[in-house]
Amino acid sequence: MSGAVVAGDRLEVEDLACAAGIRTLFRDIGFSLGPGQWIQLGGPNGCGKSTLLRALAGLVRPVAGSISWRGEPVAASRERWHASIAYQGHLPGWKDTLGAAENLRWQLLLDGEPAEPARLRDLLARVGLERQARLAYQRLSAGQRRRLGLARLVASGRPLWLLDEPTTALDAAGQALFGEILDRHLDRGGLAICATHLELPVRSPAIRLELGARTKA
Amino acid sequence: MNAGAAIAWGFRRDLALAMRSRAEVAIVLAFFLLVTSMFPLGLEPDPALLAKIAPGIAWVAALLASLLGLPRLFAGDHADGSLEQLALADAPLPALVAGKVLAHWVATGLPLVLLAPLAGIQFGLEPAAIGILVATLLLGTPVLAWLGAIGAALTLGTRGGAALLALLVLPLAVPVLVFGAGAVESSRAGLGAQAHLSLLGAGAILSMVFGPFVTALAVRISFE
Amino acid sequence: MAGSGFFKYSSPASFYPLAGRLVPVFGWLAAALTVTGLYIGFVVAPTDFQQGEAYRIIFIHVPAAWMAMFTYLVIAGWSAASFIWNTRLSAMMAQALAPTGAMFAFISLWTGAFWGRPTWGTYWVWDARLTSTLILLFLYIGLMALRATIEDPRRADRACAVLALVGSVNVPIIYFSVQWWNTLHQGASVSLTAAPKMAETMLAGMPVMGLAAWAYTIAAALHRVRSIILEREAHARWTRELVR
Repeated sequence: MSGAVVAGDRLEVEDLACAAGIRTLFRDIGFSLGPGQWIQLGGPNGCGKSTLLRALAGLVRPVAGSISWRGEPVAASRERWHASIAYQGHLPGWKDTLGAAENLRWQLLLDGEPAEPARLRDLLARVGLERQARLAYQRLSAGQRRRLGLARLVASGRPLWLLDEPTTALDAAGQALFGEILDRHLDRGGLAICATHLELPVRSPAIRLELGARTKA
Repeated sequence: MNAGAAIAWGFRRDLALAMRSRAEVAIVLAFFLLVTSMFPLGLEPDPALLAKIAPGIAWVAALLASLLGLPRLFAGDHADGSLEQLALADAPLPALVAGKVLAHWVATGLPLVLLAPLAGIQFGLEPAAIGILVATLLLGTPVLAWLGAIGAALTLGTRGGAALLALLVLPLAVPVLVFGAGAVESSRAGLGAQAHLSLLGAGAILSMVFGPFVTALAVRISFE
Repeated sequence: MAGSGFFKYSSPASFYPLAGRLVPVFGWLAAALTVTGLYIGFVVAPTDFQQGEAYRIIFIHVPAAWMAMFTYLVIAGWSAASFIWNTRLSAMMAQALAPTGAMFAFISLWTGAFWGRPTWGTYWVWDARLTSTLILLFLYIGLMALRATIEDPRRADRACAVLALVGSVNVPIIYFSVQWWNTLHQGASVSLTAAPKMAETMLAGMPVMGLAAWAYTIAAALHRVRSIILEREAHARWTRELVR
């Protein structure tokens, strides 16, 4: 499955530039990310962190630059690229009227992951939501909602994680949980780019990329 | 996921969501009957007149009711971010969209078709005419669903609201209206409704073949 | 891609001066053709036996209707080009043409009313051409409304391109269905498509007015696209130098 972590996964970005309307958000962004590495994407509000993640995911077209994954340009096969990434943006991506377990089930099926009830139970337990399985998503607290997103990441076998403010609303335990999950992913050779202005409790050292200044990392 | 699995995924999930919001769906159907009831109140309840205008009114009411139901299709997913996840899925977006539109039609279009006889009775339509009306709605509501899906996807997140959606979709829906309502008239005049039904059928097929791709393109455009 | 020949002008920066030079050319051509056409239509052509002087409005009504339809197809063409070659300028041309097309649709409807009133005593008849033109006007308004409600220009380009292409596929179907609908309900003897039999001098005026409308559309679109270019390329160096 092209989504699994493979030795030699590499993300190469060159001269990436994005604009919002007429205003250029950022230019000349370039970096190379290898297995087990992760980027902490920082910068002031409005500098384009979210847009950079969205451009990498393919939701937004960059005005310039190239993105390559495993040596091939990402534009060559959209589906193969999508199979290699797990994106969590500002919007949570869950349905209000469905329960936590149901939501997770649909998302896992969409991700191409197995979603039997036993696995769902395990995943929810892993993120501390075992008692909230039947609760409608709209009844969950902000922190609990964020943990559901973590459950999806745990289940996902995809090599590259693109996360926008992943620890918002998480309590201390939740943040530690996130750190654990990300560390385990990186240990397995996965890659990640996290946009955040908080310090993340992750053991592996981050490559820091600050927007608002031209950077080649 | 291959296309078939993607269609099934979109269909099942959206149907599950529709079941959770049954009230929302029922409102659309109530609206349909409400609109058809307005006309006799606005005109005179003369049986001959009503029977004459019934097909046109039923069709206009169906058009408006389907417009009303359209925001359910993409706006919710767009607002909570699940549309993004669909666009990023390892599955063909046109197939996912096709599943969604199919579920949307089953939840809002098909019930309209089944309710049409009620409207026919309100207007004193004879049974043969009711039959033709139902047939035209059965063929025409999928076309409306796809035209609406394209319009809904194009207007995601814009300030235009329901009025803009109506402005975009109604002119494109004119042929469906003409052939749908015209079929009943034509069969009444003894000319038969074959041609109309064939054209509607052709329209249904064309919209089902091209609709998914155009809608998926419009969805991707809405993220930019 | 500052390439050779045709593609040299595909960048807004190089198209801007070219458009500037062409606007007066087409403008004067339009003026000359309009004067000629109107002269033929309103002075030279003889009074019609049945309809008197009122029929002369046909020299504006029909070319306007024809131009409204043709312009929509041209917009669809530019929209297709903007998808195929991913050029901003094609989308800008589509954007520039829409108001002119809408104007012609409106003129056609308005002149139709002026024709209807003295001839048949009614301002509006539901004949095939008028009804199709009315729907076409709504299609134009839809295009312009969609453009207005989307803030990001590139997204607006692409969304309007999709709408224009879907609309253009529908336009023949709409015309066909309205024609069908009209013949089905024939019984009404009033029809603006039933033009009086015209002598040759009368007919000569129509193509002239048609060409005039075409020349005007080109001039108006080129003029408008220059404003659009300036607005959307405001950040580029060459526009700033222009303003300086």
